[in-house]
Amino acid sequence: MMPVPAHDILRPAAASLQRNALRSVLAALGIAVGVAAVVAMVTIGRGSRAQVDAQISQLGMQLLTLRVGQDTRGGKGAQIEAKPMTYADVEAVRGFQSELQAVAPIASASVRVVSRQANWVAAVTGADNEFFAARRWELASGRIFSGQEIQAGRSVCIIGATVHDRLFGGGAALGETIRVKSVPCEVIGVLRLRGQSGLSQDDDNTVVMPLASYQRRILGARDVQAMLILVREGIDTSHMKSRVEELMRERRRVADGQDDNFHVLEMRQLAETMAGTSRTMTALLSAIAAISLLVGGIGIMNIMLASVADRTAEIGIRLAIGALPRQILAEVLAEAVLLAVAGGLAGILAGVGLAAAARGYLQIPLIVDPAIVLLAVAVSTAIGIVFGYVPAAKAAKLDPVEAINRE
Amino acid sequence: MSPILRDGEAHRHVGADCSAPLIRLEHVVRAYGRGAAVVTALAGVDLTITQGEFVAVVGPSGSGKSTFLNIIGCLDTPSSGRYRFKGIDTGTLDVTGRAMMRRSSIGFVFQRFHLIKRASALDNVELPLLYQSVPRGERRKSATAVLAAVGLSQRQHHTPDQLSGGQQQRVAIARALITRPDLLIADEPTGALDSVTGAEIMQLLKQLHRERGTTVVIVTHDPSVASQASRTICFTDGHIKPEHFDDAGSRT
Ligand SMILES: Nc1ncnc2c1ncn2[C@@H]1O[C@H](COP(=O)(O)OP(=O)(O)OP(=O)(O)O)[C@@H](O)[C@H]1O
Ligand SMILES: [Mg+2]
Repeated sequence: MMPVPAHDILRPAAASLQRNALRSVLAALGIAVGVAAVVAMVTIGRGSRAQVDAQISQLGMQLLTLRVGQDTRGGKGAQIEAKPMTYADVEAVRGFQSELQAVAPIASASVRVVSRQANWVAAVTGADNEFFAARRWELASGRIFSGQEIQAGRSVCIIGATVHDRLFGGGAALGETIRVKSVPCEVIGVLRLRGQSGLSQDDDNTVVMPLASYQRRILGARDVQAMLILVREGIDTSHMKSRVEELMRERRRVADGQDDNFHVLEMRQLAETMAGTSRTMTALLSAIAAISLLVGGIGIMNIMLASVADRTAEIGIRLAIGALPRQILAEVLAEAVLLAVAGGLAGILAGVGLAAAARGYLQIPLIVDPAIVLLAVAVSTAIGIVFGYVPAAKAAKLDPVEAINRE
Repeated sequence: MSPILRDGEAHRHVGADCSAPLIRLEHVVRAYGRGAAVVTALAGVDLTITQGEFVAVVGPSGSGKSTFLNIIGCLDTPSSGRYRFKGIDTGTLDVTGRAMMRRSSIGFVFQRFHLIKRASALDNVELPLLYQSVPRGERRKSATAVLAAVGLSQRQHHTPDQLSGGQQQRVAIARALITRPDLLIADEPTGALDSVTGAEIMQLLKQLHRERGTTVVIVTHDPSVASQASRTICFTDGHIKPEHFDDAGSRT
């Protein structure tokens, strides 16, 4: 026997839902809310994840950052800044040259910088050319330091896009002299705009000068505050981290069993921690989704039970004039599925709408994953079938004689 | 039990025994409830109705007439005994099997019409064909033709509450006829109608019987309606009273 054509089932189902419009809307609301919440949260989650990923990949997954830490050896519990690193430490780390792509010693501080037109506070960093490689910074114009400038600690500088903007209104800057904490300094390069990155401060609000000149004229000491260590592609960063730690413990005479008075930050680990956080979030979201969809499904089951009870006599008539029990089952299921899918679609729209609204607040991109949309539709359909089944089976099992006289 | 009319069309159904009588009940019992509260609506009925008869079922209220119709219409099953429809033992059919039997061979007309309220006359009439997956265009055509045959061409798009009782019963008859059933069952089809309208409905049923040879079994309380049948079966307390075959002659 041929099945009843789909439109012959769907049209009456839609008509029946329309007749009880308010009741249908209320029934679908549960699913709509559940789906909306999930779609919104997943979409927002995707957006912020993408943003974090972008920031991390901008910094590079192969990056280690070595910093001086707290020294606990001094007094009882007294926390004092541990002794700084020196250029000798840098040379020692550079000993791992076959594993490392770049080792950039840096020292930096927030310093007032002044041009003829304006003055502004920027992050001023003393570094050498490896710094640009380690941070993947590129020049928009000009050049990087010459070997001679680095050796001699010349007063030259490379400025970020924000500083370029503030001090020169974005105009010609190369060859101009700016004052960095009263030290005159020639601009030899302008960095390409990096854009806002949430992990570090504004990367564009920066001035870079040779480390030696920064140490001598601005810091007044020969300290190296940190090292950016770029591990070669294909070499395990965790392994390199332990080797650097071992080396530094030895050089800084940290005895066995004593806390390190420095630390090495591993970018990959940071990224994985964030991914882990988002996995926890996903699990939590799934739980919320399951609960709201369960509630929505029960709502649909309720409405369909009421609808079947209302239409008992009519179903009896249909059975008496030749409807097969499975055709009645299909009709009621179709209505439940239609209701659930309508709720699901409304939920998808509302969820994307919420995510779009949140985009403005959270400054994240709007990324609608087609998979979540398909999943929402599939889940809604499944809910319609699962929770529509009990009412549908009840309708199909009605005894026509009894049902028909129930008017 | 004399066969009175034999001008019916040939049986169309595969698996059915053409030589068997259309309806054959053997010791059919139908009891409701259980224990002390048991009600025996049919207390061992033996009966044969052949193709083409026009049978009136009479008897006092509660005597088992509706129960009898439900059983011969495959809407209900005997508690014991055997019911053969077109030679097929209906005891061997499951729920779906009985639904298939109803849709292919049986038309029902009820006292209170039992139309679907929100649906137009046309939609009501074509409903049995919808469940047989007849394409929409064909359904419409058949329904229009059958509505015309019961004289309701002008009322196709009216819903039941826009129709008079007699018109609603015509729609119900059209719905019962659209599948060209072998057996038309009517439980007090004129019971909810005034006598003039009731007479019109009876005319229609008789015309159908005459022109199509459909077997008709009709429950009535009205002796004048019963007198128009080719045979009268009288129920008392779930039993059939011995029949008066000479009544058959009163049919015109
Ligand atoms: N679903 C049921 N449950 C219990 N008893 C029932 C049920 N249906 C019918 N009966 C009983 O079976 C007996 C026969 O009922 P039935 O409806 O067949 O009578 P009827 O001859 O059609 O009466 P009426 O002329 O009033 O329609 C009655 O005693 C009735 O009370
Ligand atoms: Mg009755």
